Amino acid sequence: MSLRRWIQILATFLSNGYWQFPATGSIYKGTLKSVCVPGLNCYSCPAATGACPLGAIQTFMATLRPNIEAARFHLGLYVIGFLGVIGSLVGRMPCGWVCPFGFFQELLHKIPSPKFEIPKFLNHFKYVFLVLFVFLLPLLVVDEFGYGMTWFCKHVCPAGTIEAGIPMMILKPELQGLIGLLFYSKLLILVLFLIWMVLSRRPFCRTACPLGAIYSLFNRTNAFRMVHHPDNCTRCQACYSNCPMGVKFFETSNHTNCIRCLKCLQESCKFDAISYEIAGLPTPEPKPNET
Amino acid sequence: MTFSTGQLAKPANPKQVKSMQQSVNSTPGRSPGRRSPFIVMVVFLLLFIIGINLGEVPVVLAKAIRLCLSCIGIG
Repeated sequence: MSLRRWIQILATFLSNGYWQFPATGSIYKGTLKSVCVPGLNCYSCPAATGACPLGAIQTFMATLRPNIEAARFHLGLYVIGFLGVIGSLVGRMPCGWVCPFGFFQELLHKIPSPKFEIPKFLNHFKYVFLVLFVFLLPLLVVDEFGYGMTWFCKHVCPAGTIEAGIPMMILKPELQGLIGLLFYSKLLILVLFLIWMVLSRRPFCRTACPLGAIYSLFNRTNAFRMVHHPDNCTRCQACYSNCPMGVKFFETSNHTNCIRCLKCLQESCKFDAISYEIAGLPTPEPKPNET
Repeated sequence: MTFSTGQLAKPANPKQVKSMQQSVNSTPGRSPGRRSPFIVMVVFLLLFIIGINLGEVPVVLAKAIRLCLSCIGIG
């Protein structure tokens, strides 16, 4: 098993390390929850030990108006700063190494089935979800007191449904009486994504994840960058075949979907056409193509 | 390929020369140290610290320790 896989397992357990929930019957309520995790992990998951950065941003947007009226300038800078520091250093690397939901998608894709590529235009939808569901709707659609809703969590997030919705229904049967159309619509979204995850490579990350969209904004300017060596490249497409995000590395080496999993470098390319650099500092020169 | 002294001293087309220079300088991965990611990182680090000073950490905690009914699809 690769180092990345071990780190994904470790990160999943660290993000969900509260295993007393069957005894307590509730979620973790310790101070660790004031820290955001770098990946997508619902904070209402009974085992979650950290806060979901997306949920936190939406909360700040949803409460911005009443907060400002009360002279509390809670703009979400704590979370945006946290994500920006990570993004500026490693871009979308957290998606490939520490995101539990990304890891889950990779495992599901191992189920034998016909596999399909995702149409390119769908890649842009994650930015729509980011702008609309994480920022604009929570900020603009408010009740009579000025409070908005966490739109992405409430209406879309399949991670919330699988990590929190279903487990909490089992853990707290009294909640089952509150199940309505909203729960079923989220369940439908989850089921559709689960099927899509088997058929395509990480479809949620590529088409709908607002967290991935935030990190991807840094992919071309962050310190850790992938480098393509066209002189060595034979365009054999081995990197594309093995890429969990379906990136054609030989066309765009720092594509917004590149999660820096390094699978192309370590497990795919036989021609030394791929390397990486850290802030432009020299890395070992690839050998010239001898074929 | 060899160049005569005359060819080097009198380039035919400045655009061609610029393009040749760019191709020599653009060896992938060999750019000199880039500072921009660290400048961006410092900006976001400042935002992060400002957020902490504005008292946003307890807000995140307060939200995260309560069961989010929206997240589980009933609220």
